[in-house]
Amino acid sequence: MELNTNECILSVDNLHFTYPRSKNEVLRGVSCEIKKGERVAILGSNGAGKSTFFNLITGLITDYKGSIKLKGKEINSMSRNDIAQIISFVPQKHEPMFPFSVKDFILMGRYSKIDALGNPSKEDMEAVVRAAEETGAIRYFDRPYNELSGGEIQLSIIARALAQETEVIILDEPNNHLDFKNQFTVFNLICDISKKRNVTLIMSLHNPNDVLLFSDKAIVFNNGVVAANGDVSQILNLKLLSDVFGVNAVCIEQNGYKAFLPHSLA
Amino acid sequence: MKKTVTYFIMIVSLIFLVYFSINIGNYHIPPSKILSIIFSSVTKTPFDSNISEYEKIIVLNLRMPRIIMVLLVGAGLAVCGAASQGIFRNPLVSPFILGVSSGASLGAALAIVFLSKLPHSIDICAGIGGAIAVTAAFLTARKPDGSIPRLSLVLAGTIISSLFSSLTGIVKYIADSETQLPAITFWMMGSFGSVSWETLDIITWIIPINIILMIIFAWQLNVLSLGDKEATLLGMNIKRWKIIYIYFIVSTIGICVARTGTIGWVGLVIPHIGRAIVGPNHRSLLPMVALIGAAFMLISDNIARGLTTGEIPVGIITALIGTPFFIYYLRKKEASVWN
Repeated sequence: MELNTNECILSVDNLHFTYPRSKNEVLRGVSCEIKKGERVAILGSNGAGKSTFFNLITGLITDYKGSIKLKGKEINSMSRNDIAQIISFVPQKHEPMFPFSVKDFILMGRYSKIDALGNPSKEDMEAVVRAAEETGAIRYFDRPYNELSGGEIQLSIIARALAQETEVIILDEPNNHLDFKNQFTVFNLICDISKKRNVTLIMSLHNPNDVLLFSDKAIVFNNGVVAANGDVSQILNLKLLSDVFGVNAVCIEQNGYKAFLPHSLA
Repeated sequence: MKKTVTYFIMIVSLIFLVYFSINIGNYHIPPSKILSIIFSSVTKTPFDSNISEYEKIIVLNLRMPRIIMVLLVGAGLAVCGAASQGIFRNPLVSPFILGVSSGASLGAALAIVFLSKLPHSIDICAGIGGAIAVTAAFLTARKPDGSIPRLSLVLAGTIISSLFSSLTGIVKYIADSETQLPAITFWMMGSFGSVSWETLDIITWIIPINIILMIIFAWQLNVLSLGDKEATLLGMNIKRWKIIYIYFIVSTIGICVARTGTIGWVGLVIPHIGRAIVGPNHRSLLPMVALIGAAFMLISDNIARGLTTGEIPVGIITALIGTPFFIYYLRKKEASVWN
C-alpha cells in the first residue's frame, strides 16, 4: 500500500455543537478520522445530525466546541479560499436561477483558483474540459443549464466539483432526485473518478445498499453521537439497521453481492 | 464571434440614435447645420457664418448635455437592475422594486426642504436614503436561516417603498408650496428637462465609473447567483462581494435619482432583454445591458420631449413601455419565475 493513502485529511475530535437559541445539543462528542482516498458514507436517520456535521466540516458553521482539523489545520481558522482548495461540495439539488451554459457553470468550480475578474487561464480551461470529459458533460457542454435532465444536471454539478481539483469531495445525498439508472450511473462514475484521482469521498447516503456497493467505510450517526464507525463490511449489519433505523431486514447474498431488504419495523 | 457582431450592431445603432436624438426638438435646426456645429465644436474651428448663436446654444448647451445624461442614467439603471437580479438571484427585482429609488426620493426630498443650502446635499441624502431602504427591504424579507424567498423580497421591497413614499408625502406636505413643492413634485416624476453642463458635474461621472467596475467584476455575479451556500463552498467571501455590489448599486441609483428623479422599469425590464440576446453570463450581459439601457432611455426621452410641445415626464414613458413588456414576460415564463 502506498504511503500517502494513510495521510489523514480530516480529523474530528470530541465535537459538540448546539444551534444558537436552542437547548438541544445536535452533536454530542463526535470523533472520527478520514484518510486520503477513502470513500466514506455518512449514515443516520433524519435529524441524527448528518446535515449539521456536513455544515461543520465544510466550515459553514464555525462556533463549535472541540476540534475539526482539515489537513492538520483547525477549520475555523481557515479562509473560505483555503477550504475551497481542499474541499468541494456537491449539493442535493441545484436550482438554476439563470440558464448558464454547462461550460460557464463548470468554470465556476475554478472560483478559488481563477483571478477576481474571472479570466480563465489555459490551466483553468484544461481542468474544466477534463472534468467535463470524465463526467460526460462534454456532450452538452454549450447547452443552457435549464434544458438539461435531472441526471445531466447532477453530472454537471459533479463536473464542477472535479474542476475545483480538491482532495475531498463532499456529496449530500447525490442520488436524491435521480431515477434508478441515473442513481447507478452517478455513483459508479464518482467512485471510478475517486479511484483514478485518489480523491476522498464523503457521502451522505440513505440507502444501506448504496453504502454496500459504493463505499469502503461508514460513519453512522444516531442522536448526535457516532453509533458505528469502520469498514462497511464489518459494521453494516442487521443489528445496526434495527438499532439505528428501527427496521428489521433480511440480508440477501448472491454472486458475491449483498443487499438488505427491510420487511418490518423493529 | 456572434457576440462581437451583436455588440458591434448595438454600438453602431446607438451612435445613429444619438445623432437622431440631437435632431429632435421643438426648435427645428437642419441636420446639416447640426453636423457643422458639432464638427466645429469638436475640432475647435470657427463656426459657419449662417449659424446663429441661438442654434449653437440649443445644440451644444441644451441637447448635448441632456443626451449624455440620458445615456449615463439609462445605462446605470439597467446595469444596476441586472446586478441586483444577480445578487439576490431573483429576476423579479430591480433597484426600483427593492425600494432604493423611493428611499433615494425621500432623501432627496428631505434635502430639498431642509438642506438646500449645503452643496451636494441632494446627492448624499439620496444615496443614504437608498441604502437605508434596500437594507430595510433585505432585513424584512430575510428568514431566520438567512435565506430570502423570491416573492418575499418583492413584497418587502413594495412595503418599504410604500413606507418611504408616505414619508415623502409628509415632507411634501410641510414643504413650501410656492418653491419647494413644485420642485419636489416635478423632479419625482423623472425628467431630463433641467439637465445642463452644470448638472453633469464631477459626481455624475461616478455613474460610468461604477458601471465599468461592475462590468469588470461581473464574474463575481455569476458565482453569487448560484446562491449563498454554493458560492461560499466554491471559496467566495460572499459578504464582501455583496457589500461591494450593493455599494455600486446604491451609489449609482442615488446619483441617478438625485439628478433626474425616479425613473422606473428600466432596471427590471432591460436585463431580461439582455439575457434574451447574449445569455445569462454577467460578463457579456452587463455591457449589453448598459448599451440597451442607454438606447431605451434615449428613445423614451425623445418621445417625452418630441411628442408634444410641452414635455412629458420620462418616467411615464418608461412605465408605459416597460409594464406591458413585463406582463408579457411574466405570462410567458410564469411557472419558472414565480416558484
